[in-house]
Amino acid sequence: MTTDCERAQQSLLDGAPASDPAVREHIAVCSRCDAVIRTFDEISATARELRGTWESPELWQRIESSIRTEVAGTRAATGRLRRWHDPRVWQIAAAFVLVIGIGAVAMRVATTSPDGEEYDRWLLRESALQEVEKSEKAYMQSIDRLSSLVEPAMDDASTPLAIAYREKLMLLDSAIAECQAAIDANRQNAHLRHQLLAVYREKNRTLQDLVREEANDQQITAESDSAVSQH
Amino acid sequence: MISRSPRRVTPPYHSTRALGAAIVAGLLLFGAAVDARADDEVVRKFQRTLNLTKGGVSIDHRMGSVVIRTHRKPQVVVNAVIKTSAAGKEAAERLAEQIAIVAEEKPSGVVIRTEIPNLKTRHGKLSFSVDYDIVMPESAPLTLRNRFGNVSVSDLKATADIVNSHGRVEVRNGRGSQRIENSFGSIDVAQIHGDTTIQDNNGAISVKGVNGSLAVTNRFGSVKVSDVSRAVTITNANGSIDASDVGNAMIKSSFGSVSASRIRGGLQVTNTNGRVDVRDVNGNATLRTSFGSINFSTIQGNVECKSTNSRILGKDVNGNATIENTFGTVEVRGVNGSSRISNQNGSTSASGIGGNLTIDSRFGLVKADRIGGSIEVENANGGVNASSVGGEAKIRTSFAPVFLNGVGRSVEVQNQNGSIAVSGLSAAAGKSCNAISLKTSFGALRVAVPQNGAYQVSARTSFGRIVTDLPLTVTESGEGSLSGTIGAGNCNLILANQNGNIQIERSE
Repeated sequence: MTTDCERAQQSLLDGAPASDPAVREHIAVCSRCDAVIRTFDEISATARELRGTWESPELWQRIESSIRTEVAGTRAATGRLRRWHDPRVWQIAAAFVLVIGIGAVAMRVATTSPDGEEYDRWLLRESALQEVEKSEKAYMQSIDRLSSLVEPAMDDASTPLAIAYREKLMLLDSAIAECQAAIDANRQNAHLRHQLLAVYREKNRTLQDLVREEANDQQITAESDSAVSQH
Repeated sequence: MISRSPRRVTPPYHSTRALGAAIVAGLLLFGAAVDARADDEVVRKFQRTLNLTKGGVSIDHRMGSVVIRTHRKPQVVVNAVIKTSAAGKEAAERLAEQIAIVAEEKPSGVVIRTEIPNLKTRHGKLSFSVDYDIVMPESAPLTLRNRFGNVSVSDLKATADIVNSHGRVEVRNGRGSQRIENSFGSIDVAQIHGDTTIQDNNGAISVKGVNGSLAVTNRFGSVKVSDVSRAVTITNANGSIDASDVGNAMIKSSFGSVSASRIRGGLQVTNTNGRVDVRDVNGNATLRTSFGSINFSTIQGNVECKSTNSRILGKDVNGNATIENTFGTVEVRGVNGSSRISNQNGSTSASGIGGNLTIDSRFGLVKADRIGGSIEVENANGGVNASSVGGEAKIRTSFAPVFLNGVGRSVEVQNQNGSIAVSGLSAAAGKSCNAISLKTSFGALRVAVPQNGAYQVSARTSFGRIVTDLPLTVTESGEGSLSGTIGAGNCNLILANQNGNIQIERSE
């Protein structure tokens, strides 16, 4: 197995082979890795089909009952030590391991399957959306606080730098409005939400820079006033 | 005979049934898990192949990415993936059906557009994205409009006109003129064989490898350009510019740094409120800025710098250097041609100047060293310190001392309220001396002349002593004045002071 194959299969275990461009390139040229990915996809597809035709709420009870019968029978017939030599015990254990194994793999594949990952890249699920909205809210609060600090300076912007800052803030506000209007009709679109977050981040950074500039100006003015008064 | 414990015979179906049930349970769990994703998501795929015999491809899209690849067939293969999400499966499916992909063959070429229904669902569940993967003829022109998505175009051998917003734009391996516009997203362009025009707003621009000319305009984002065969024009505001390995370059910027290197032709930089760093320019360099430093090195042609409130540091200029500055230091080293420096309220330093050096300064110290030609300094309220001057030295200043050491030709210093010291004088070939004229008021005046010098001395001071270490044949002596000759007296040595001593020393 080559390093690339290891990486591809590791990414499968990680659940996102489609998200890594290098792995995608490798899968495109490596038939072995491609076959592994296809197998996982087929298992996923087959399982999806099975779900609709074989639903049995009593299944677990039947399995448990069967196991209990088997175990009880075994206890009655043989001693405790002998039980471990009984091949049926091992078969049952194997069945359990298989159940847990298949289930675990299925959960892993399903929750992080390439298809799912791909989907998440474009439309956010509710939990992800809540995280994004929480982050947006935090940015908005920070922006509000910073805006209140720089508002007087922005109102009286006369220097080229202040005018440039004001222009940038207006530009960012227009971008925020565009994103928000688009989000109104497309709330879970991941690109839109990421774009809005990026603009919020940019505005926050711009306001921070502006606050720093203001502080520097005030310090210079204070020092200048102090020097004049001392003189 | 070996006795064996009795073995219970179990019908084989018991264990097999348990195993089978376990497998089924596993598969059910598997199926349930696979379907654990919300069932309100729908993916609809669209695929259509259209013929393109003439004209180009026009795409109008929003809310998703567009990937353009090319082939040599006269066909446009449109693949689109529509992903929708809604409160229920039916609603998601309905939305997926309502989003229309229109792909048509028209006389002007192939037209592709996305028609999205009018949705107003604030905090609702309807969401969607539409992503295109389009393969088009490599020789067909492309017109692409997109919003809220990334754009990628590769291997197009025809003109492209791309306008995007709120997404990243990547263009690779193109041939033909390219016009790329974006806002609120980066632009990444590489390996274009044709003239390229790029405009962005609040996004970083990166361009590498353009075989043609390049024009870039940006605001509130950085610009990085390299490997451009022909002329480059870059205009940016509030963002840095980095250009390297380009032809003639014209750069305009404000509130951002400018870095330019390995310019095969001439360079013109106009910046405000930002620093300028320039190196390896094959032609002339004209550099302007304010409130930011200028650093330049290895300029094959002439360099012209103009700045205010800046620090200018330059070296290795093959041609001439002309520098203007205020409120900052100027330091220039290694200029083959002549140098003309004007600086106000800042110190000035020039060394290794092949030609003449002219400095106009106020309120700053002037230092000059290893000047091949003559030096002329006009200063006020600032000292002058010059050494190893091949030609004449002509210095005028006030309220600060003047020190000259090693001047090859005549010396003329006019100072006010500052001392003067001149040493290391040498004569031009075939001459034993050069004319020296040193005048000041309120300061010591000291000159060291060669032992074989031949001077006609005229020294005068109102309040001070006149002292000479060399034998002087006095022709006239009065109160505060002395005239005479040293040696043959071939050259004038005029020393005039008002309130200070005059001392004539022997050079070592």
